[in-house]
Amino acid sequence: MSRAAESAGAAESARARAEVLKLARLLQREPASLSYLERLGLDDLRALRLRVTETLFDAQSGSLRGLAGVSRLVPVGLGAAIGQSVFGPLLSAQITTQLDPERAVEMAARLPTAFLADVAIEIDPRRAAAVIARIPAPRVAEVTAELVRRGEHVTMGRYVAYLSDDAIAAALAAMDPSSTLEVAFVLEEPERLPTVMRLLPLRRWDGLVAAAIERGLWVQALWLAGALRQRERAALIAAIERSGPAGLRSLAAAVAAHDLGDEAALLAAGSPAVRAALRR
Amino acid sequence: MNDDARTHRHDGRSHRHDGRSRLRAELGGDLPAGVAELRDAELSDLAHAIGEARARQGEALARAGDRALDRLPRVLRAVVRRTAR
Repeated sequence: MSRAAESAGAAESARARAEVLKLARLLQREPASLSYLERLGLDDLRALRLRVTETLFDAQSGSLRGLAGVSRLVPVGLGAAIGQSVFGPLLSAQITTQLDPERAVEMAARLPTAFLADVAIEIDPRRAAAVIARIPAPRVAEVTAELVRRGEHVTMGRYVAYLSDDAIAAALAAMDPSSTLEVAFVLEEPERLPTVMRLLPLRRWDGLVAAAIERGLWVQALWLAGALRQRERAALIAAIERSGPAGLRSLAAAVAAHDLGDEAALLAAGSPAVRAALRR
Repeated sequence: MNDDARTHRHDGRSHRHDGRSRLRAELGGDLPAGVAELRDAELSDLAHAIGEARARQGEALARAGDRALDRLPRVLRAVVRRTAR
């Protein structure tokens, strides 16, 4: 295998495991029972997951419309109560896609944060995009904080790209640095990554680098570096330089251990200190 | 020999071990290119998991519908039944 291919492998394998985890949740299987899927490429895995999502939804769409009809006929408060006590998180997530977005948001406002976090784990963000985009930023921050507490990086990665800019900023504010790196790494729509990371205040890049050093998240940090625009990449480079000799040694060790030379080259091109650390 | 063409003798009869066809049937069309290259037993397992998930969700929806009706005022139930039909 070429050095470039191996370099791509470390990040790709981790992202493939995240995709398998998403599919396992959808099928209510233990991720380990689907580990054979990790042999697939990311594009195939994602295509498979989206097809399974469509299949399961289409099979129940008539019943879901019926249950959404029930929710429409009752006051918002009763609809929310039925959602929590009768439908549960999975069905509520599916019924949400059949509701008028404004009504769905009103119902969400009356539900406990923990239940909304349960729904967020089950929801198909593409179908619920109009609802997700309308959830007020403070509510998004509360749900995100709950998901951070549960270590639900994959869930956050699925919906963050569908939030309004205000809500993305609120979600980022609710994430600790290592969660931010993990969520960025598994973001459902990676092409949205530059927009998402633009909303991270520049002062927080030091925390991301500290998390990469202390939590061994350089694979995630360097993958992120490749997706950033110039301003944010410069912020990451500056934070790495500020981490001092210990930070630079940690970076160099991770680059050697995971064969991340190609990703690190982007940083080295913008920093003599990084270049020097990688040459040692 | 590809998986579609593979046959095995079992209980005195010939059975196709056709995970690919089962998965195509579950997903309603062609498989993503890489997925079609999985082993037949893996494709079968995937098809089985999707079928189980669909059945489980269908049962959960039916139960939820009945329980939701129980929560409604009696006068609304007939209206809801008509709407949900």
